[in-house]
Amino acid sequence: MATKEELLQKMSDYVFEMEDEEIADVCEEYIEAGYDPLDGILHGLVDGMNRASDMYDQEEYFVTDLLLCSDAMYAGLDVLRPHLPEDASMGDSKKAVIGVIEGDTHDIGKNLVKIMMETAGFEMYDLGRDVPIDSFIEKAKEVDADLIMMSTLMTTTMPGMRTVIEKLKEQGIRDNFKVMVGGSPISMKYAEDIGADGYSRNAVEAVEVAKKLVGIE
Amino acid sequence: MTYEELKREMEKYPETMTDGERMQKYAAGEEVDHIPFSIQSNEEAMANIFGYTTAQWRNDVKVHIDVIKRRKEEFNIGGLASGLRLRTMAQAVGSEIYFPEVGIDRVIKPVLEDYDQLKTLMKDNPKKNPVFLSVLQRGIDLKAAFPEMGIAMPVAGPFTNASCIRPVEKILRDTVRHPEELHDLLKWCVDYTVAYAEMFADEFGGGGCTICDPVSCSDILGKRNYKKFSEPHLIELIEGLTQALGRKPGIHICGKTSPLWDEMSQLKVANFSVDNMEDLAAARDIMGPHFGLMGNVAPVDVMLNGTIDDVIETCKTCIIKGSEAENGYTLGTGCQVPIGTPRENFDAFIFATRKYGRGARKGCLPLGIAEEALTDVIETKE
Repeated sequence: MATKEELLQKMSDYVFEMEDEEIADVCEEYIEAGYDPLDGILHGLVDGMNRASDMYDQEEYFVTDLLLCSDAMYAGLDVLRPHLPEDASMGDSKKAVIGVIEGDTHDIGKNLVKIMMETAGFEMYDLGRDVPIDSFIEKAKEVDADLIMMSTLMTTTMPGMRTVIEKLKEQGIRDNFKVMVGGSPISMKYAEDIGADGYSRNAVEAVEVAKKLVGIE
Repeated sequence: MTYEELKREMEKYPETMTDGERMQKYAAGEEVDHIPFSIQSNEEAMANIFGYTTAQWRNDVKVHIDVIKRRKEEFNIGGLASGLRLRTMAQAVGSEIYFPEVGIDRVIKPVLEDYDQLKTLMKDNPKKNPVFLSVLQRGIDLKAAFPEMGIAMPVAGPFTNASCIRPVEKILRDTVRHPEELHDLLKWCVDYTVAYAEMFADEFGGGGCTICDPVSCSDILGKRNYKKFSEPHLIELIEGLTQALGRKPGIHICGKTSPLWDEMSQLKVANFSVDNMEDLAAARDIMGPHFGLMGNVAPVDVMLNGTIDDVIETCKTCIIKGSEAENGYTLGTGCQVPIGTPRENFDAFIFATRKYGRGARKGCLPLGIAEEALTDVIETKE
């Protein structure tokens, strides 16, 4: 019978190698052997995703690879999650609201950021795409979010990001949230101009910026 | 510099050649009045300047004609286009596209969820497709209104077309899960696009063509998948277009492309338009020996949100970096110029072309740049 470490390694490898079918069997085997599901998530699945993101940093993996790795990770999570005790928490997770700004439906970048943020342990509230300005604010207030993350691919919808920040100011709650922006036409300069707290060029970098903003090292 | 000052300064640098004359002489290695320039896909931004919505420009041929007319009168920019934009082929074969009143169209629902449907889609005859026929008709109407202007056709690259026909996340997964079907789809995109080029050539007798292929950038595909999926079909497309139109097309790929430059240098294209996120000087050194280069003034930070001085300064930097490209250089924006770009920034771009690009010759720094450098030296000595 495989040891816990062997199974964790296999789970990590299957995520890293994008094996989204075999991974469920290993996760079943891990659970049947009575090992801790939370360890399985953190030291198996998430470990594999972290290895993938290191490869992305080194330009050995690309968007396609991250997507396929995340398919495998989620396939594993489907098996492990139901076995977590009801009061189990992933630690003191920071919360982030994420979405593509109103008028835009390009969401592959946003989806990747969400995946990488979840992998890093953030509790993500995904509003989807074509998200009305006010929904970002309402959801952030409702869940007491730490971060608001907005993305767009279109120049015509960029100003919506500024509007969200202005509305936060008007309501006197700007300092309650850190605001991050991203997407092809967005630059660090634009982020600074509209008063956002953070900007990143890609999904892996987004996690680093988010961690810094909310004080996780 | 204020807009009034810019207007006054501009008068010092009049154009002395027509577009056709300039292009011909520059290509032949002769000195021209100023460096060739291209402000990419500017009709939507121009429509906005002239008080029209994008929908009016798109739907009403009279508005389209007025935009071309005023662009010529007020900015001296000519040229017509009638081709397949990023989502036109997808629209033609049944993807649902949303066309906003102001703004660029986008895919709402790609038509190909399941590869079983591909064979049915492939039965469509592009030469009888109503969307293709209406795009061609727009070109015919424009040419009738401006017979003196040349007409060119943009097309989308195979991977970009495929990403508007099938959901992009599925396409990316297909690279591992369904590679054969993906190749079939990409090949069909090539054939369908070349069919339009043949329709265009039958009507207008050939012409220039630019392939836009934003999804082929290394940010999304990566080198491995570019080589495996994009490159072979891009090569087929370039061959097909060259044959149909009688000349090599140009190509623009948005985003990061530098990891692919060694491969892209082998493409048999007339020119390569470099995105603003890349270094033009590096592109000149690696790709310059293979074809002409164009680029790469930032469309958002500079053209849309920059000042007149920002535009002039950026254009000057681009001319310095790009003008010595062995096979020629066209000062251009790094991607489509956004709707909302102010009139004065178009003028600033054109002014920089005339002032710093003055006395351009293929492969050399223009006299405008050289003279300014000399003046700086003299002033420093004094």
